[in-house]
Amino acid sequence: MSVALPPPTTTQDTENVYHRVSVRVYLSLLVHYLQPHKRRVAWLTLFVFGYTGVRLAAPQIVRFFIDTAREGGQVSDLMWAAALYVCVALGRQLCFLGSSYFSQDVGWRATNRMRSELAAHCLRLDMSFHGEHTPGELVERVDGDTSTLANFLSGFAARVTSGLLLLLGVLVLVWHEDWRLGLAMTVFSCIAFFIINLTRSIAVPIYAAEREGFSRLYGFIEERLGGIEDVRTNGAVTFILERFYKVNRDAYGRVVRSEVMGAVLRSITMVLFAFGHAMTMGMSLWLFRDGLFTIGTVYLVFEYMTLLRFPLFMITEEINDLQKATAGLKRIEELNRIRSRIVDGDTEPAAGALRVDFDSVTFEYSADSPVLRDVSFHLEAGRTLGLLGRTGSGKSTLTRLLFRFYDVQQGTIRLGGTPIRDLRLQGVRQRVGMVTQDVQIFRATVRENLALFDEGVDDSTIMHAIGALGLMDWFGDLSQGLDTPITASGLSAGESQLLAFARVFLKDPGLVILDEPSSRLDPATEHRIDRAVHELLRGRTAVIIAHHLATVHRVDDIMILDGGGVQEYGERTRLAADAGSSFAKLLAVGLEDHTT
Amino acid sequence: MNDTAPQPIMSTGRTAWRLVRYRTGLFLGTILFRGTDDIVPFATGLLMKAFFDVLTGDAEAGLTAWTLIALFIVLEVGDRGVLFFASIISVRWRFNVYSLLRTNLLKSVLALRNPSRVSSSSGETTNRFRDDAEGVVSYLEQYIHLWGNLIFAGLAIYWMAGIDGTITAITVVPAILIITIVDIARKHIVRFRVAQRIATEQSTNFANEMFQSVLALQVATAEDTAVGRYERLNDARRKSTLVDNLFNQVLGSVNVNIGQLATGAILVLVAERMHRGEFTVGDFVLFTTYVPEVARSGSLIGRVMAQHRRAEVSLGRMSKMIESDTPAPLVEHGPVYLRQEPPVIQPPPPAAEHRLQSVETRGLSCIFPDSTNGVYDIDLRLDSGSFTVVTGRIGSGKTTLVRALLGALPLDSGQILWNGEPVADPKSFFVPPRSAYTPQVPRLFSETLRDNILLGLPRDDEAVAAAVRMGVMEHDIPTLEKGLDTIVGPRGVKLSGGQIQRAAAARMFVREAELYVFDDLSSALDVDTERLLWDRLFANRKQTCLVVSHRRPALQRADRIIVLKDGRIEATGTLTELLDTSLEMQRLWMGDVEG
Repeated sequence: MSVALPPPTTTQDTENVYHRVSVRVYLSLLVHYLQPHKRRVAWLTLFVFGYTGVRLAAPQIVRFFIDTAREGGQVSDLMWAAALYVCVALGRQLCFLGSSYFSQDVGWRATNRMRSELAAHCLRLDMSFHGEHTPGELVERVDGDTSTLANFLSGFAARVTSGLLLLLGVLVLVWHEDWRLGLAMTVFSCIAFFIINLTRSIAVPIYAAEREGFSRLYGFIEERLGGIEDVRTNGAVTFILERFYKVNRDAYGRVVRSEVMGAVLRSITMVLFAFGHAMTMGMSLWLFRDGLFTIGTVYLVFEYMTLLRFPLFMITEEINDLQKATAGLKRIEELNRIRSRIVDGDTEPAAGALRVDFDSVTFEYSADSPVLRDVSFHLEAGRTLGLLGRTGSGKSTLTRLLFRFYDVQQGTIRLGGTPIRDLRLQGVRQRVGMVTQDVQIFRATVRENLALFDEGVDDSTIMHAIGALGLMDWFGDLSQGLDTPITASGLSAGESQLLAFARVFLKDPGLVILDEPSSRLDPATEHRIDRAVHELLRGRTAVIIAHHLATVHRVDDIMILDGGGVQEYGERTRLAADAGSSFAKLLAVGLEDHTT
Repeated sequence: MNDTAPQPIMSTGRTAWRLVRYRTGLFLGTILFRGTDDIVPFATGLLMKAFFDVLTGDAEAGLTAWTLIALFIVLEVGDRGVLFFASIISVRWRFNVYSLLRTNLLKSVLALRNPSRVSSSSGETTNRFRDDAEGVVSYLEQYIHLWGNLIFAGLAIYWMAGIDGTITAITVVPAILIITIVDIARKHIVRFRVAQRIATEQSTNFANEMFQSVLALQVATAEDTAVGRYERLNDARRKSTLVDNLFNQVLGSVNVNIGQLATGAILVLVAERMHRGEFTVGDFVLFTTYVPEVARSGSLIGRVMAQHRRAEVSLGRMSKMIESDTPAPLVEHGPVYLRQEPPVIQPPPPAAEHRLQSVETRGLSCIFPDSTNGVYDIDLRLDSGSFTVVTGRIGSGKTTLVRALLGALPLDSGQILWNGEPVADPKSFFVPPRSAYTPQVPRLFSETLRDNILLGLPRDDEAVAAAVRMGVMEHDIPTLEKGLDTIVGPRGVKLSGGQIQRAAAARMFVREAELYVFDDLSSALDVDTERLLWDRLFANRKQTCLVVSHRRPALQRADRIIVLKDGRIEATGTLTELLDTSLEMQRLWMGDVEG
């Protein structure tokens, strides 16, 4: 996508882009997306041009027919002309079907590529972006907005060229009949083009507003449908409907404005053409009475005037579509301009278990409310750190920093000894694995869910992971093995957790982060998980966030966070032995909790 | 709609009729203006014939060529005016009908017996609201053009027959031919359309899943592989769309093609007569103007039939989604509030009838389709003011049990009783002020935290503050950007997992219901926070509580514990009793210790 679009500019520019996107941008877009489909574009061009040719030829045949009939020519000539007309009609249909097939094929290929690029871009953006955009909204961007560009990409250039060719052909042929009428038609075409162009920029923001309205509406529906149970059991059905009416009404206003604008624009061009036709009729009348035109020629120029509607209207329509596309392109462009705040490094992280260092790290999501304050710790490669602290003490944030979802304001984080800012982002995320409490299961096969759609992972590797993590029993029950489709609702929370472990296991990271791994599980399942965790952590550095003191028993070091700062940090056994430590107190409270 | 008597199956035609009747004025307005526009070519044809006849001297008498040109302008400009009104009326009509379909769909989905399937594929469901509603409305739009076109065709055929009956007959035949061809072909349209819809759905569904799982994909560096799958799905979508479109284009071009061939046929047929001067150039112009239009009008009937099939598919899918045999609930008339504010309806204030004395289940069974997962034959009783904990291993059916009780899942058998009376429709019965619920994975919406807690309930700041305190969230509020007025982002992503859970708890507490149902409220809370929550709840509890938990603080406070195993009640009793008698309970208890 970066090829096609101008470099990011300041936000002040965005207003202007609404009105006109420069031709250069469109051209580079076409070149970028159509280049891979040269042969198809060639076929498309051929059919489109053929279509123009037969359309210019048909009225000439009829003129010949009429004049020959009126002037008492051969009946056999008339029959030949009629037969030729039928052939032209058939050729016309062939060209029409060919051009429509290839234009759609090319359009879809190009649009799909744009969808992929845009989806990839969105997936790479940081979480602060995703916090502000619903999945439904993003689908509307990636799917809906690109659809508006589909027409543009599917042979806009070929159609506009053929339209111009048809226009030129008509004018040349009319000049050939009579220069005065030719001149009049040319002047008319120029005026029509001028007026059409004048209207070009008016509609774009209105069309954009219409799409925005729909995007909000469907985003709203999508999100609310995801939470029906919450809504219903808490008696909020009428409230949701009330909100729905509001969002729907907002979309209504936008649609009506957009439709009225369209109707006005269409009226202008249509009235214009009524006068164009009247002019042609008037001039032909005069030329006919002067004996310069035969009746067949009067018919011919009238037909050509009718034909003129086609390219001018078509170009208006294409431009209208282009305006819609511009609105879509504009929104796509805005999306593309959003850059992750993270600047990628270029060093590859070290192999094997990763050492983790935090040196006086201070981090805040928004100014003046630090989530982590001056946090320092040094976790040797291969050791396991247990992270304790209340909700909101900064545990989750700390683990997210290890993926470099955010950059810290002060201090340095090092992975394997290298500052994380210098490391290649994808490299970091390949070397760090995480299991969160919320496991995402896709509606896809077991294989796809475990390898996360990577077709390069072979089955034996996946089976090894399944075996190592004690999922063999579960796997044995699947009807189609790795090809069994699964859904989140068909899995228990424990199974989901184990699948998440298997994902991380397949990735073979040097650092593993377990975020509240045993929440929402019953003790019996926790045993299974425990064994899996043991397997997963072998030979790796790990950070475990735990609420259960039981989980803490396995770790080497303990860090307790409080209000974003380190309250206590040290070896577990040493802290446990020190009666004055917070950890020891916590153990006591926890044990008390367990025994009373 | 599932609980009332089965409604008669409604045909697509009758469904369409119901929709047409929804905003009859706007529909008639649209038809009037669009239809007038459809008849205009008849007048244009007559004018053009007159013009050429005047030129060649074949006109009988009357208007001069200049008058005809002036009339031509009047006709064209007038037609444009008609079209302008048609646009602005039809857009209103269209949006009203759309809104009715969407509103009814939303209402029905919110009232489903088992909404979890819809919830888990909200992307696909959103397509129903968009594409299938579109399919139905564009079918109705065909009717708008139908009458004008038929009148035009009638007039045109009558006029042409007056000039030459034979040629007219030969031009009308292709129109009938078209109808037959399209009619035969139409059953294939459905198949391609369905394939295309499915492919589109798979793609948009996956896109939805992708964007819902951004964090997971980034963590796993699976962005590219996920996009790879998206690409493959889109390619399948391209192929199916091409097939569907090509098929439609071929059908469409057959229509046009036969119109063109008919023009060719006119040339052949009139050659002799024109040569003899019996057929004027004006007649020829009239025929070439009318014939393609008549053919198009004829093909419209075929198009209506094809669209009829599409609409049938769309209606079928929408009905299926709302678990209805008939599309009747989709087209039930009701206000859509496009011009006025919707009325604000509040839940009834607590009354004596809402007081809980006891809740019972008798032989309650709820089994997931295509599996043996579920709960079987559950008898339980909750007395007023009691604290009951449901526990058991993963997959033992704890969540299923509470969801079935609350009507979030349909019962396969058994009964639920409230104060001894059977509950006919649990899903509409177990709502505030009788009960309120915090699901295992609560969903928040992209609105303010306050709105998420209140969900439309009229409560003052004090009540919200009290609920927030009950949910142990009072210390989180000041850390949020705008406190209670912070927009929490889609699904509440701006909050941590624990904050979402506690916001959902506050959402439950603010409803001041008789029965609170917690599904593993503690799962995202640390030990201290959890203890605080139970302490506060017990400090001023009048309500009856049903809690799913395996944690000790909850188990220790329980009046009664229900141990589930493989979907059946394994044991019930107090903690002390159960630790003595139930092996399963001992295991669950010990498991936590050894963890």
